[in-house]
Amino acid sequence: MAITASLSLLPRADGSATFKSGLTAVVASVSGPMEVKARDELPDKTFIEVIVRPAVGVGGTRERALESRLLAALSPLIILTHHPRTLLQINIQIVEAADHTDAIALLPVCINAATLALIDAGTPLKSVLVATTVLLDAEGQVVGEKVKGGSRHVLGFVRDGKCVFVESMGAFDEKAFGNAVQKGMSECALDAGDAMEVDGAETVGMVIRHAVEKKVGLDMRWRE
Amino acid sequence: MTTTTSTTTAATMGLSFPAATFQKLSPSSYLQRHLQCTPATRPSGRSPSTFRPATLHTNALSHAHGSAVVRTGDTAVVCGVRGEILALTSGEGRTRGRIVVERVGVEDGEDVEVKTHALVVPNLELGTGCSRDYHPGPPTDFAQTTAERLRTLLLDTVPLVPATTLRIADAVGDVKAYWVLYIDVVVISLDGNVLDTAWAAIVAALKSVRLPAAIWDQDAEAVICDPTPENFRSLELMEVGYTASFVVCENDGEEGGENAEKEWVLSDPDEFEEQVCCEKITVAVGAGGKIVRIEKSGGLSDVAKTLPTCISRARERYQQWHKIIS
Repeated sequence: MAITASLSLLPRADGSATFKSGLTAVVASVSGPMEVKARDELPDKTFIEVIVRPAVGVGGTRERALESRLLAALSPLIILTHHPRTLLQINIQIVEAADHTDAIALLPVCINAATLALIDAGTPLKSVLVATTVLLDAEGQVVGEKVKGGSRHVLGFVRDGKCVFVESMGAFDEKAFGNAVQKGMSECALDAGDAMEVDGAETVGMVIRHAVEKKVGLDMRWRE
Repeated sequence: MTTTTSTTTAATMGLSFPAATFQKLSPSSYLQRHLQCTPATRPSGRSPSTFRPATLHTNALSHAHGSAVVRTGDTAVVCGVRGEILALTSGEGRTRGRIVVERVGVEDGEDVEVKTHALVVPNLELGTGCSRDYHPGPPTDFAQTTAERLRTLLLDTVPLVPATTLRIADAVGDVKAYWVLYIDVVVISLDGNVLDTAWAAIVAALKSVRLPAAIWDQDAEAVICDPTPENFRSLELMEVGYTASFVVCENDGEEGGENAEKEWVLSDPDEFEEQVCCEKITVAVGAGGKIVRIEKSGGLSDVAKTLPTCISRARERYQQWHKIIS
């Protein structure tokens, strides 16, 4: 599954990124800190708003549910007390998706795009969240394709390798879940050096690392 | 005169104030001070691992085909299920020519029709004045999110209703119509953890459903229902699963020594605990202790530490729900 990522493609947003994994592609943009509506203003924190727009039509309950999952995934990463009484808006536009009703496929792509956009916007972050999908078969072994009777896990890891975000579906037990976390951790590692290639393809963690490295390299070119 | 009164009050009060004021001023330390006691006790008097006892009352709504009222603590939910007939033939008024009939045999294991024909339609509504934060208007993000989570649970995670039990076939066995189940959940009172209670209400309501015997009348080309209550039938449901929700409260106080707990996993949080703790975990367990769903988000604690506790407590909760509902 080819994974690609790039930063700063929208000139007018404070931060933006695209992330594409297989057939699912999204664009994320971050605006803020900016003025907040009086109703939403928090005296000691930044108010975070996540907006998900589907590829076709207007958002419904499915998008609201996705927004709340993303908000819960991203808000613990952001240092909210740095910009009190402001708004941080994270916009996510789904560009293409194999199945628009499938939140499990959309979630990791949205999380990764939003993380990259937050980095690009220079938002104060405690850590970086990288997410991936791990598929298991009925016996709890990691497989490449969705199989009947298996389970699907969206796992999000922060920089120090802790698994902090989980969305799992399908029947499984603790041992199978342990396998999934192991697999996810190696997929999402950001600091594993050059050894992080599986079957010649880059892992999610490496794609994200290289995208940020490339962006920093471009920004710092004036120094040379 | 006024000055004297105020000085006396200040003198008697000193720098202390009632617990209720402390709770309002600093909700998070209020919760932590409770949990730092030995044994750890929550403001409600429960221990971190205790779930609120649930009560169930079925078939209270006379107009619904099945209904249930489930109450856990101060969270109370009503669920009503109503069956309506979806005819597939072109002769039937509204559906004329709009539905592509897929002839799926009764023996076919794939239950695609439940989704393609939307045979199960769950919805959640927050009743007027169910909580302090309730304000009238279109469904809030919270209501929409909870409704969507219930929908995924019912259609993807714990597919309770198989299409086979909803089919109305003719004498030869061709599917002519379907029962569509409209599952409406109304939250009467909201004091945290609405998902578990609403889900239990849905399961109990589906179990209590009695549908009239429906037959396809070849001559009239319509579905005829038998009104005699003796011939009503229950649904044949699949394996049941139950959810259990938790919040994680982190101990960031300076109190407690080396062996003080870093974080507490609170089962079945009430509204106050849900507001204070951002980190939420939901585990759904099916028959035989199988895990069917895990949702965790909102915090930076490692799953390796918190999840095993949650899973064992969710299994315990499964037994409790199982006892009440079946």
